[in-house]
Amino acid sequence: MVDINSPSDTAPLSSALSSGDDRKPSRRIQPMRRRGAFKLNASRLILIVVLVVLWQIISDAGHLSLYMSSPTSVLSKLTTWFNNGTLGTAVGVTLEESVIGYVIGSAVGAVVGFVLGRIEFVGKLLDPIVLALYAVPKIALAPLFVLWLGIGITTKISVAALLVYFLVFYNTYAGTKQIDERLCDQARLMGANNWEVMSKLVIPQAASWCFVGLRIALPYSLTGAVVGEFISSTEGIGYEINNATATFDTAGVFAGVVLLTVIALVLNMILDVVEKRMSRWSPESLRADEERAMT
Amino acid sequence: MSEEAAAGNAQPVLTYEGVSKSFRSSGVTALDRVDLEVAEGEFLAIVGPSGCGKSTLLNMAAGTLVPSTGRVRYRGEIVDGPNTNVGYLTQHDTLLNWRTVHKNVRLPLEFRKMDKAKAKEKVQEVLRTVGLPKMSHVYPTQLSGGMRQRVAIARTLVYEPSVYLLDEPFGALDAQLRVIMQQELLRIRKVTGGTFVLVTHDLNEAVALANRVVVVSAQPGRIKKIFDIDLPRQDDDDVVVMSSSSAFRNYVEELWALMDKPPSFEAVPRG
Repeated sequence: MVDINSPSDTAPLSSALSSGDDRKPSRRIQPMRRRGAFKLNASRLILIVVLVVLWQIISDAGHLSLYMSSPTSVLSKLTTWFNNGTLGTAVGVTLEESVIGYVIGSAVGAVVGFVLGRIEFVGKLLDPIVLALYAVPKIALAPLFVLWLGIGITTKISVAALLVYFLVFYNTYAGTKQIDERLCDQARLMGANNWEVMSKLVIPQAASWCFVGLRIALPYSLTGAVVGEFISSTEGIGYEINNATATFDTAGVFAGVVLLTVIALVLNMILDVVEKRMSRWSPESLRADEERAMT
Repeated sequence: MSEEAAAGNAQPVLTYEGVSKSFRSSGVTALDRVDLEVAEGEFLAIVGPSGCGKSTLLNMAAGTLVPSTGRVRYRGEIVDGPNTNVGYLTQHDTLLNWRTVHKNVRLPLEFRKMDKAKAKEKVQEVLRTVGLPKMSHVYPTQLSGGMRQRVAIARTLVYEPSVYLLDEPFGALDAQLRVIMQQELLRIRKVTGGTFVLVTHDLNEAVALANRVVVVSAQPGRIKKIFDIDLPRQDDDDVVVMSSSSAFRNYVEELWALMDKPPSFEAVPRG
Protein backbone atom coordinates (compact mmCIF):
# COMPACT_ATOMS: atom_id res chain seq x y z
CA MET A 1 0.00 0.00 0.00
CA VAL A 2 1.18 3.49 -0.78
CA ASP A 3 1.58 5.79 2.18
CA ILE A 4 -1.13 8.19 1.09
CA ASN A 5 -1.65 9.38 4.64
CA SER A 6 1.87 10.45 5.46
CA PRO A 7 2.03 14.21 5.96
CA SER A 8 3.37 15.85 2.82
CA ASP A 9 5.79 18.05 4.81
CA THR A 10 8.14 15.18 5.45
CA ALA A 11 8.63 14.35 1.80
CA PRO A 12 11.13 17.10 0.90
CA LEU A 13 13.46 16.19 3.77
CA SER A 14 13.88 12.61 2.74
CA SER A 15 14.42 13.63 -0.85
CA ALA A 16 16.99 16.23 0.23
CA LEU A 17 19.09 13.46 1.69
CA SER A 18 19.33 11.69 -1.60
CA SER A 19 21.58 13.65 -3.92
CA GLY A 20 18.92 14.31 -6.56
CA ASP A 21 16.63 16.52 -4.53
CA ASP A 22 15.44 18.59 -7.46
CA ARG A 23 12.14 16.78 -7.38
CA LYS A 24 8.98 18.82 -6.90
CA PRO A 25 7.47 18.64 -3.44
CA SER A 26 4.90 15.94 -3.12
CA ARG A 27 1.59 16.53 -4.80
CA ARG A 28 -0.12 13.34 -3.83
CA ILE A 29 -3.79 12.89 -3.35
CA GLN A 30 -4.97 12.69 0.20
CA PRO A 31 -8.47 11.27 0.13
CA MET A 32 -8.52 10.73 3.87
CA ARG A 33 -8.22 14.42 4.53
CA ARG A 34 -11.09 15.20 2.14
CA ARG A 35 -13.35 12.59 3.64
CA GLY A 36 -12.44 13.96 7.08
CA ALA A 37 -13.41 17.48 6.03
CA PHE A 38 -16.80 16.31 4.76
CA LYS A 39 -17.49 14.40 7.94
CA LEU A 40 -16.54 17.42 10.03
CA ASN A 41 -18.80 19.79 8.09
CA ALA A 42 -21.73 17.40 8.18
CA SER A 43 -21.32 16.94 11.92
CA ARG A 44 -21.23 20.69 12.44
CA LEU A 45 -24.47 21.13 10.50
CA ILE A 46 -26.17 18.40 12.50
CA LEU A 47 -24.98 19.95 15.75
CA ILE A 48 -26.42 23.35 14.81
CA VAL A 49 -29.75 21.84 13.77
CA VAL A 50 -29.95 19.87 17.02
CA LEU A 51 -29.25 22.98 19.07
CA VAL A 52 -31.91 25.01 17.25
CA VAL A 53 -34.49 22.24 17.65
CA LEU A 54 -33.62 21.90 21.35
CA TRP A 55 -34.04 25.66 21.74
CA GLN A 56 -37.50 25.44 20.20
CA ILE A 57 -38.55 22.46 22.33
CA ILE A 58 -37.34 23.88 25.65
CA SER A 59 -38.86 27.25 24.89
CA ASP A 60 -42.26 25.71 24.03
CA ALA A 61 -42.36 23.15 26.83
CA GLY A 62 -41.24 25.53 29.58
CA HIS A 63 -43.25 28.55 28.44
CA LEU A 64 -39.96 30.41 28.49
CA SER A 65 -40.53 32.37 25.32
CA LEU A 66 -40.43 35.67 27.20
CA TYR A 67 -36.87 35.02 28.39
CA MET A 68 -35.28 32.98 25.65
CA SER A 69 -37.60 33.50 22.72
CA SER A 70 -37.62 30.68 20.15
CA PRO A 71 -36.32 30.03 16.65
CA THR A 72 -39.75 30.47 15.12
CA SER A 73 -40.43 33.81 16.76
CA VAL A 74 -36.93 35.06 15.83
CA LEU A 75 -37.63 34.03 12.27
CA SER A 76 -40.99 35.79 12.21
CA LYS A 77 -39.38 38.89 13.73
CA LEU A 78 -36.75 38.88 10.97
CA THR A 79 -39.52 38.53 8.39
CA THR A 80 -41.37 41.48 9.85
CA TRP A 81 -38.17 43.57 9.83
CA PHE A 82 -37.50 42.53 6.29
CA ASN A 83 -41.01 43.49 5.14
CA ASN A 84 -41.18 46.87 6.84
CA GLY A 85 -37.66 47.84 5.73
CA THR A 86 -36.13 47.91 9.21
CA LEU A 87 -33.77 45.07 8.32
CA GLY A 88 -32.29 46.79 5.29
CA THR A 89 -31.79 50.10 7.08
CA ALA A 90 -30.35 48.56 10.25
CA VAL A 91 -27.89 46.31 8.42
CA GLY A 92 -26.94 49.14 6.04
CA VAL A 93 -26.29 51.65 8.82
CA THR A 94 -24.32 49.27 11.02
CA LEU A 95 -22.28 47.97 8.07
CA GLU A 96 -21.48 51.50 6.97
CA GLU A 97 -20.32 52.48 10.45
CA SER A 98 -18.18 49.41 10.96
CA VAL A 99 -16.64 49.31 7.49
CA ILE A 100 -15.67 52.99 7.52
CA GLY A 101 -14.41 52.62 11.09
CA TYR A 102 -12.48 49.50 10.12
CA VAL A 103 -10.80 51.15 7.15
CA ILE A 104 -9.83 54.30 9.06
CA GLY A 105 -8.67 52.41 12.16
CA SER A 106 -6.67 49.91 10.10
CA ALA A 107 -4.97 52.50 7.95
CA VAL A 108 -3.96 54.73 10.84
CA GLY A 109 -2.98 51.75 13.00
CA ALA A 110 -0.80 50.20 10.30
CA VAL A 111 1.01 53.44 9.50
CA VAL A 112 1.56 54.54 13.11
CA GLY A 113 2.55 51.02 14.17
CA PHE A 114 5.05 50.77 11.35
CA VAL A 115 6.60 54.18 11.95
CA LEU A 116 6.91 53.74 15.72
CA GLY A 117 8.27 50.24 15.21
CA ARG A 118 11.01 51.51 12.92
CA ILE A 119 12.09 54.51 14.96
CA GLU A 120 13.85 52.91 17.88
CA PHE A 121 13.93 55.91 20.21
CA VAL A 122 10.27 56.79 19.80
CA GLY A 123 9.39 53.13 20.20
CA LYS A 124 11.27 52.88 23.48
CA LEU A 125 9.82 56.18 24.66
CA LEU A 126 6.24 55.15 24.00
CA ASP A 127 6.43 51.45 24.84
CA PRO A 128 5.03 51.67 28.42
CA ILE A 129 2.34 54.13 27.35
CA VAL A 130 1.28 51.92 24.47
CA LEU A 131 1.09 48.91 26.78
CA ALA A 132 -0.98 50.82 29.32
CA LEU A 133 -3.39 52.05 26.66
CA TYR A 134 -3.63 48.55 25.25
CA ALA A 135 -4.86 47.34 28.62
CA VAL A 136 -7.60 49.97 28.88
CA PRO A 137 -11.04 48.69 27.88
CA LYS A 138 -11.50 51.00 24.90
CA ILE A 139 -15.27 50.69 25.17
CA ALA A 140 -15.02 52.81 28.31
CA LEU A 141 -14.03 55.73 26.11
CA ALA A 142 -17.16 55.47 23.97
CA PRO A 143 -19.25 57.93 26.06
CA LEU A 144 -16.50 60.51 25.57
CA PHE A 145 -16.98 60.32 21.84
CA VAL A 146 -20.65 61.10 22.29
CA LEU A 147 -19.63 64.18 24.26
CA TRP A 148 -17.16 65.26 21.63
CA LEU A 149 -18.85 64.25 18.43
CA GLY A 150 -22.55 64.13 19.19
CA ILE A 151 -24.91 61.29 18.49
CA GLY A 152 -24.48 61.04 14.72
CA ILE A 153 -22.73 58.41 12.64
CA THR A 154 -19.32 60.00 13.34
CA THR A 155 -19.43 58.76 16.91
CA LYS A 156 -20.06 55.13 15.92
CA ILE A 157 -17.40 55.25 13.24
CA SER A 158 -14.97 56.67 15.78
CA VAL A 159 -15.67 53.99 18.37
CA ALA A 160 -15.25 51.25 15.75
CA ALA A 161 -12.10 52.91 14.43
CA LEU A 162 -10.66 53.20 17.93
CA LEU A 163 -11.09 49.51 18.69
CA VAL A 164 -9.67 48.50 15.31
CA TYR A 165 -6.85 51.01 15.53
CA PHE A 166 -5.39 49.55 18.69
CA LEU A 167 -5.40 45.97 17.48
CA VAL A 168 -3.88 46.77 14.10
CA PHE A 169 -1.44 49.25 15.61
CA TYR A 170 -0.24 46.85 18.26
CA ASN A 171 0.31 43.92 15.93
CA THR A 172 2.05 46.02 13.32
CA TYR A 173 4.18 47.72 15.97
CA ALA A 174 5.23 44.44 17.59
CA GLY A 175 5.90 42.84 14.20
CA THR A 176 7.91 45.74 12.85
CA LYS A 177 10.14 45.69 15.90
CA GLN A 178 10.87 42.02 15.31
CA ILE A 179 12.21 42.49 11.80
CA ASP A 180 15.41 40.57 11.33
CA GLU A 181 18.28 43.06 11.21
CA ARG A 182 20.66 40.34 10.04
CA LEU A 183 18.52 39.98 6.97
CA CYS A 184 18.69 43.73 6.33
CA ASP A 185 22.47 43.68 6.80
CA GLN A 186 22.80 40.83 4.34
CA ALA A 187 20.69 42.70 1.82
CA ARG A 188 23.05 45.67 2.10
CA LEU A 189 25.97 43.36 1.33
CA MET A 190 24.04 42.20 -1.71
CA GLY A 191 23.95 45.81 -2.83
CA ALA A 192 20.61 47.07 -1.54
CA ASN A 193 20.18 50.77 -0.74
CA ASN A 194 18.02 51.95 2.15
CA TRP A 195 14.91 52.28 0.03
CA GLU A 196 15.28 48.75 -1.32
CA VAL A 197 15.78 47.34 2.18
CA MET A 198 12.55 49.11 3.15
CA SER A 199 10.43 48.17 0.15
CA LYS A 200 11.65 44.62 -0.45
CA LEU A 201 12.35 43.40 3.08
CA VAL A 202 10.91 45.56 5.84
CA ILE A 203 7.47 46.39 4.48
CA PRO A 204 6.60 42.84 3.32
CA GLN A 205 7.62 41.46 6.71
CA ALA A 206 5.67 44.09 8.59
CA ALA A 207 2.68 43.46 6.33
CA SER A 208 2.37 39.85 7.40
CA TRP A 209 2.13 40.97 11.03
CA CYS A 210 -0.23 43.77 10.15
CA PHE A 211 -2.51 41.19 8.58
CA VAL A 212 -2.79 39.32 11.86
CA GLY A 213 -4.05 42.57 13.40
CA LEU A 214 -6.48 43.15 10.54
CA ARG A 215 -7.95 39.71 11.05
CA ILE A 216 -8.37 40.01 14.81
CA ALA A 217 -9.76 43.52 14.48
CA LEU A 218 -12.53 42.73 12.02
CA PRO A 219 -15.21 41.62 14.51
CA TYR A 220 -14.23 44.52 16.79
CA SER A 221 -15.30 47.01 14.15
CA LEU A 222 -18.81 45.55 14.50
CA THR A 223 -18.56 45.66 18.28
CA GLY A 224 -17.54 49.31 18.12
CA ALA A 225 -20.42 50.27 15.87
CA VAL A 226 -22.99 48.38 17.96
CA VAL A 227 -21.71 49.81 21.26
CA GLY A 228 -21.90 53.27 19.74
CA GLU A 229 -25.48 52.57 18.76
CA PHE A 230 -26.28 51.30 22.24
CA ILE A 231 -25.20 54.56 23.79
CA SER A 232 -27.19 56.83 21.56
CA SER A 233 -28.71 56.32 18.15
CA THR A 234 -31.86 56.27 16.10
CA GLU A 235 -31.06 53.42 13.74
CA GLY A 236 -28.79 50.42 13.23
CA ILE A 237 -28.71 46.88 14.58
CA GLY A 238 -27.46 48.05 17.98
CA TYR A 239 -30.38 50.45 18.17
CA GLU A 240 -32.87 47.69 17.30
CA ILE A 241 -31.41 45.40 19.93
CA ASN A 242 -31.50 48.13 22.54
CA ASN A 243 -35.02 49.03 21.58
CA ALA A 244 -36.18 45.42 21.72
CA THR A 245 -34.62 44.99 25.16
CA ALA A 246 -36.44 48.05 26.45
CA THR A 247 -39.78 46.63 25.34
CA PHE A 248 -39.10 43.05 26.53
CA ASP A 249 -39.08 41.93 22.91
CA THR A 250 -36.68 38.99 23.35
CA ALA A 251 -37.21 37.79 19.79
CA GLY A 252 -36.07 41.23 18.58
CA VAL A 253 -32.84 40.97 20.60
CA PHE A 254 -32.07 37.56 19.18
CA ALA A 255 -32.97 38.68 15.68
CA GLY A 256 -30.40 41.48 16.03
CA VAL A 257 -27.79 39.02 17.27
CA VAL A 258 -28.49 36.72 14.31
CA LEU A 259 -27.99 39.63 11.91
CA LEU A 260 -24.67 40.55 13.55
CA THR A 261 -23.49 36.95 13.36
CA VAL A 262 -24.29 36.73 9.67
CA ILE A 263 -22.51 40.03 8.95
CA ALA A 264 -19.43 38.93 10.90
CA LEU A 265 -19.30 35.63 9.03
CA VAL A 266 -19.58 37.31 5.64
CA LEU A 267 -16.90 39.89 6.46
CA ASN A 268 -14.61 37.12 7.65
CA MET A 269 -15.09 35.22 4.43
CA ILE A 270 -14.16 38.30 2.41
CA LEU A 271 -11.03 38.76 4.51
CA ASP A 272 -10.17 35.09 4.00
CA VAL A 273 -10.15 35.53 0.25
CA VAL A 274 -8.03 38.68 0.41
CA GLU A 275 -5.59 37.10 2.84
CA LYS A 276 -5.12 34.01 0.71
CA ARG A 277 -4.22 36.16 -2.25
CA MET A 278 -1.70 38.12 -0.25
CA SER A 279 0.00 35.24 1.51
CA ARG A 280 0.20 32.59 -1.14
CA TRP A 281 3.48 31.47 0.36
CA SER A 282 2.15 30.40 3.73
CA PRO A 283 2.21 26.64 4.37
CA GLU A 284 -1.56 26.58 4.86
CA SER A 285 -2.46 28.21 1.59
CA LEU A 286 0.09 26.12 -0.30
CA ARG A 287 -1.52 22.99 1.07
CA ALA A 288 -4.95 24.28 0.10
CA ASP A 289 -3.59 24.93 -3.40
CA GLU A 290 -2.40 21.38 -3.70
CA GLU A 291 -5.77 20.05 -2.70
CA ARG A 292 -7.54 22.31 -5.17
CA ALA A 293 -5.21 21.23 -7.95
CA MET A 294 -6.27 17.65 -7.48
CA THR A 295 -9.95 18.11 -8.11
CA MET B 1 42.50 40.05 -11.67
CA SER B 2 45.05 38.36 -13.94
CA GLU B 3 48.05 40.10 -12.41
CA GLU B 4 47.05 38.98 -8.94
CA ALA B 5 46.67 35.42 -10.09
CA ALA B 6 50.00 35.58 -11.84
CA ALA B 7 52.06 37.09 -9.05
CA GLY B 8 52.91 34.85 -6.12
CA ASN B 9 53.14 37.81 -3.74
CA ALA B 10 49.76 39.22 -4.79
CA GLN B 11 47.91 41.68 -2.59
CA PRO B 12 45.86 39.89 0.08
CA VAL B 13 42.10 40.00 -0.34
CA LEU B 14 41.47 40.77 3.32
CA THR B 15 43.89 42.26 5.79
CA TYR B 16 43.33 42.65 9.53
CA GLU B 17 45.76 45.17 11.00
CA GLY B 18 45.94 45.13 14.81
CA VAL B 19 42.19 44.73 15.05
CA SER B 20 40.57 44.84 18.48
CA LYS B 21 36.93 44.90 19.34
CA SER B 22 35.35 45.47 22.70
CA PHE B 23 31.63 45.72 23.23
CA ARG B 24 30.76 48.59 25.50
CA SER B 25 27.37 47.21 26.49
CA SER B 26 28.76 43.95 27.88
CA GLY B 27 32.31 45.12 28.63
CA VAL B 28 33.60 42.09 26.74
CA THR B 29 36.81 42.32 24.74
CA ALA B 30 35.99 40.03 21.85
CA LEU B 31 39.19 40.50 19.89
CA ASP B 32 42.61 41.68 20.94
CA ARG B 33 45.11 43.00 18.35
CA VAL B 34 44.51 40.50 15.60
CA ASP B 35 46.76 40.55 12.54
CA LEU B 36 45.70 38.30 9.71
CA GLU B 37 45.87 38.15 5.94
CA VAL B 38 43.54 36.22 3.70
CA ALA B 39 45.10 35.41 0.33
CA GLU B 40 43.37 35.35 -3.03
CA GLY B 41 41.67 32.03 -3.73
CA GLU B 42 42.41 30.37 -0.40
CA PHE B 43 39.99 28.59 1.88
CA LEU B 44 40.63 29.82 5.41
CA ALA B 45 38.90 28.37 8.45
CA ILE B 46 38.73 30.12 11.80
CA VAL B 47 38.15 27.91 14.83
CA GLY B 48 37.89 28.72 18.50
CA PRO B 49 35.59 28.40 21.49
CA SER B 50 32.27 30.20 21.33
CA GLY B 51 32.44 33.86 22.22
CA CYS B 52 36.03 34.25 21.01
CA GLY B 53 35.09 36.77 18.36
CA LYS B 54 35.18 34.51 15.31
CA SER B 55 31.98 35.95 13.90
CA THR B 56 33.17 39.43 14.79
CA LEU B 57 36.05 38.94 12.38
CA LEU B 58 33.63 38.14 9.58
CA ASN B 59 31.30 41.02 10.43
CA MET B 60 34.17 43.46 10.26
CA ALA B 61 35.21 42.15 6.84
CA ALA B 62 31.59 42.59 5.74
CA GLY B 63 31.59 46.12 7.09
CA THR B 64 28.59 45.61 9.34
CA LEU B 65 30.77 46.06 12.42
CA VAL B 66 33.52 48.61 13.02
CA PRO B 67 36.72 47.63 14.85
CA SER B 68 37.42 49.47 18.12
CA THR B 69 41.06 49.85 17.13
CA GLY B 70 43.03 48.81 14.07
CA ARG B 71 41.53 48.40 10.63
CA VAL B 72 40.30 45.91 8.11
CA ARG B 73 41.22 46.29 4.45
CA TYR B 74 39.61 44.75 1.42
CA ARG B 75 42.19 44.64 -1.41
CA GLY B 76 44.06 47.44 0.26
CA GLU B 77 41.08 49.69 0.86
CA ILE B 78 39.76 50.30 4.35
CA VAL B 79 36.35 48.74 4.89
CA ASP B 80 34.08 51.44 6.30
CA GLY B 81 30.58 50.45 5.20
CA PRO B 82 28.71 47.45 3.82
CA ASN B 83 31.24 45.59 1.69
CA THR B 84 29.35 44.56 -1.43
CA ASN B 85 32.24 42.41 -2.65
CA VAL B 86 31.47 39.75 -0.05
CA GLY B 87 28.81 37.09 0.18
CA TYR B 88 27.70 36.22 3.69
CA LEU B 89 26.16 32.91 4.75
CA THR B 90 24.99 32.07 8.26
CA GLN B 91 23.24 29.10 9.80
CA HIS B 92 20.04 31.12 9.71
CA ASP B 93 19.26 31.07 6.03
CA THR B 94 17.37 34.42 6.03
CA LEU B 95 15.33 33.50 2.98
CA LEU B 96 12.25 35.60 2.26
CA ASN B 97 9.31 33.29 2.79
CA TRP B 98 6.97 35.35 0.63
CA ARG B 99 9.17 35.04 -2.44
CA THR B 100 9.61 31.90 -4.54
CA VAL B 101 13.00 30.24 -4.73
CA HIS B 102 13.66 31.94 -8.05
CA LYS B 103 12.78 35.39 -6.72
CA ASN B 104 14.82 34.82 -3.57
CA VAL B 105 17.90 34.00 -5.59
CA ARG B 106 17.21 36.91 -7.94
CA LEU B 107 17.12 39.43 -5.10
CA PRO B 108 20.81 40.49 -5.25
CA LEU B 109 20.52 40.92 -9.01
CA GLU B 110 17.52 43.21 -8.50
CA PHE B 111 19.65 45.30 -6.17
CA ARG B 112 22.38 45.34 -8.78
CA LYS B 113 19.90 46.38 -11.48
CA MET B 114 20.72 43.48 -13.76
CA ASP B 115 18.72 43.13 -16.94
CA LYS B 116 15.71 40.83 -16.31
CA ALA B 117 16.34 38.26 -19.01
CA LYS B 118 19.99 38.03 -18.07
CA ALA B 119 19.08 37.72 -14.40
CA LYS B 120 16.69 34.87 -15.12
CA GLU B 121 19.37 32.95 -16.93
CA LYS B 122 21.88 33.55 -14.18
CA VAL B 123 19.43 32.40 -11.49
CA GLN B 124 18.75 29.17 -13.39
CA GLU B 125 22.47 28.61 -13.72
CA VAL B 126 23.21 28.91 -10.00
CA LEU B 127 20.17 26.81 -9.09
CA ARG B 128 21.69 24.09 -11.27
CA THR B 129 25.00 24.57 -9.49
CA VAL B 130 23.46 23.96 -6.07
CA GLY B 131 21.45 21.02 -7.35
CA LEU B 132 17.97 22.57 -7.35
CA PRO B 133 17.28 23.23 -11.04
CA LYS B 134 13.56 22.45 -10.86
CA MET B 135 12.70 24.30 -7.68
CA SER B 136 12.26 27.80 -9.12
CA HIS B 137 8.59 28.24 -8.36
CA VAL B 138 8.50 26.61 -4.96
CA TYR B 139 8.26 28.69 -1.79
CA PRO B 140 10.93 28.35 0.91
CA THR B 141 8.29 27.15 3.39
CA GLN B 142 7.96 24.02 1.27
CA LEU B 143 11.64 23.16 1.57
CA SER B 144 13.65 21.20 4.14
CA GLY B 145 16.51 22.77 6.07
CA GLY B 146 19.16 21.43 3.70
CA MET B 147 17.34 22.68 0.63
CA ARG B 148 16.79 26.11 2.18
CA GLN B 149 20.50 26.35 2.85
CA ARG B 150 21.20 25.42 -0.78
CA VAL B 151 18.92 28.24 -1.89
CA ALA B 152 20.78 30.61 0.45
CA ILE B 153 24.05 29.47 -1.11
CA ALA B 154 22.60 30.04 -4.59
CA ARG B 155 21.52 33.54 -3.57
CA THR B 156 25.13 34.26 -2.57
CA LEU B 157 26.67 32.66 -5.65
CA VAL B 158 24.40 34.55 -8.02
CA TYR B 159 26.16 37.89 -7.67
CA GLU B 160 29.63 36.36 -7.81
CA PRO B 161 31.17 37.99 -4.74
CA SER B 162 34.94 37.63 -4.65
CA VAL B 163 34.96 36.59 -0.98
CA TYR B 164 32.55 34.19 0.70
CA LEU B 165 32.15 34.68 4.44
CA LEU B 166 30.62 31.57 6.00
CA ASP B 167 29.54 31.77 9.63
CA GLU B 168 28.78 28.21 10.77
CA PRO B 169 26.75 27.78 7.59
CA PHE B 170 25.72 24.21 8.37
CA GLY B 171 25.41 24.59 12.13
CA ALA B 172 21.66 24.11 12.11
CA LEU B 173 21.70 20.95 10.01
CA ASP B 174 21.81 17.39 11.28
CA ALA B 175 25.12 15.52 11.17
CA GLN B 176 24.45 13.58 7.99
CA LEU B 177 23.18 16.56 6.04
CA ARG B 178 26.09 18.60 7.26
CA VAL B 179 28.56 16.19 5.67
CA ILE B 180 26.57 16.25 2.45
CA MET B 181 26.60 20.03 2.41
CA GLN B 182 30.34 20.15 3.11
CA GLN B 183 30.84 17.92 0.11
CA GLU B 184 28.59 20.19 -1.90
CA LEU B 185 30.53 23.26 -0.83
CA LEU B 186 33.78 21.71 -2.05
CA ARG B 187 32.15 20.84 -5.35
CA ILE B 188 30.60 24.30 -5.78
CA ARG B 189 33.89 25.96 -4.97
CA LYS B 190 35.53 24.07 -7.82
CA VAL B 191 32.93 25.56 -10.17
CA THR B 192 32.97 29.12 -8.88
CA GLY B 193 36.42 29.71 -7.48
CA GLY B 194 36.77 32.66 -5.12
CA THR B 195 38.13 33.15 -1.63
CA PHE B 196 36.42 31.47 1.31
CA VAL B 197 36.55 32.34 5.00
CA LEU B 198 34.75 29.85 7.20
CA VAL B 199 34.01 30.28 10.89
CA THR B 200 33.22 27.03 12.64
CA HIS B 201 33.62 25.21 15.93
CA ASP B 202 33.64 21.89 14.13
CA LEU B 203 37.31 20.93 13.80
CA ASN B 204 36.55 18.15 11.32
CA GLU B 205 34.76 20.62 9.12
CA ALA B 206 37.70 23.03 9.29
CA VAL B 207 40.27 20.41 8.34
CA ALA B 208 38.10 18.87 5.65
CA LEU B 209 37.40 22.15 3.86
CA ALA B 210 40.25 24.57 4.50
CA ASN B 211 43.80 25.08 3.26
CA ARG B 212 44.62 27.06 6.39
CA VAL B 213 43.11 26.92 9.86
CA VAL B 214 43.41 29.79 12.32
CA VAL B 215 43.00 28.91 16.00
CA VAL B 216 41.61 31.76 18.08
CA SER B 217 41.85 31.80 21.88
CA ALA B 218 38.96 32.39 24.25
CA GLN B 219 38.19 35.92 25.47
CA PRO B 220 39.93 38.02 24.55
CA GLY B 221 40.27 36.52 21.08
CA ARG B 222 43.86 36.31 19.91
CA ILE B 223 45.37 34.25 17.16
CA LYS B 224 47.07 31.28 18.80
CA LYS B 225 48.37 29.48 15.78
CA ILE B 226 47.83 29.13 12.08
CA PHE B 227 47.96 25.66 10.52
CA ASP B 228 48.59 24.89 6.89
CA ILE B 229 46.46 21.92 6.02
CA ASP B 230 48.33 19.79 3.56
CA LEU B 231 46.14 16.87 2.67
CA PRO B 232 46.10 15.05 -0.65
CA ARG B 233 42.84 16.18 -2.29
CA GLN B 234 41.28 14.61 -5.33
CA ASP B 235 38.35 15.79 -7.38
CA ASP B 236 35.92 13.22 -6.07
CA ASP B 237 37.18 13.21 -2.51
CA ASP B 238 34.65 11.99 -0.01
CA VAL B 239 34.69 14.05 3.18
CA VAL B 240 33.94 11.00 5.31
CA VAL B 241 36.64 8.87 3.71
CA MET B 242 39.09 11.74 3.91
CA SER B 243 38.43 12.28 7.59
CA SER B 244 39.41 8.72 8.42
CA SER B 245 42.99 9.11 7.19
CA SER B 246 45.67 9.38 9.84
CA ALA B 247 46.99 12.69 8.48
CA PHE B 248 43.48 14.13 8.88
CA ARG B 249 43.16 12.81 12.44
CA ASN B 250 46.54 14.27 13.33
CA TYR B 251 45.44 17.72 12.24
CA VAL B 252 42.24 17.47 14.22
CA GLU B 253 44.08 16.28 17.32
CA GLU B 254 46.64 19.07 17.08
CA LEU B 255 43.84 21.62 16.75
CA TRP B 256 41.93 20.11 19.63
CA ALA B 257 45.00 20.25 21.88
CA LEU B 258 45.30 23.97 21.14
CA MET B 259 41.66 24.86 21.70
CA ASP B 260 40.79 26.70 24.90
CA LYS B 261 38.33 24.66 26.90
CA PRO B 262 35.98 26.10 29.47
CA PRO B 263 37.48 25.87 33.00
CA SER B 264 34.81 23.41 34.10
CA PHE B 265 35.92 21.03 31.37
CA GLU B 266 38.94 19.70 33.25
CA ALA B 267 37.17 19.76 36.58
CA VAL B 268 34.36 17.36 35.76
CA PRO B 269 34.13 14.97 38.74
CA ARG B 270 34.26 11.33 37.81
CA GLY B 271 32.16 8.49 39.16
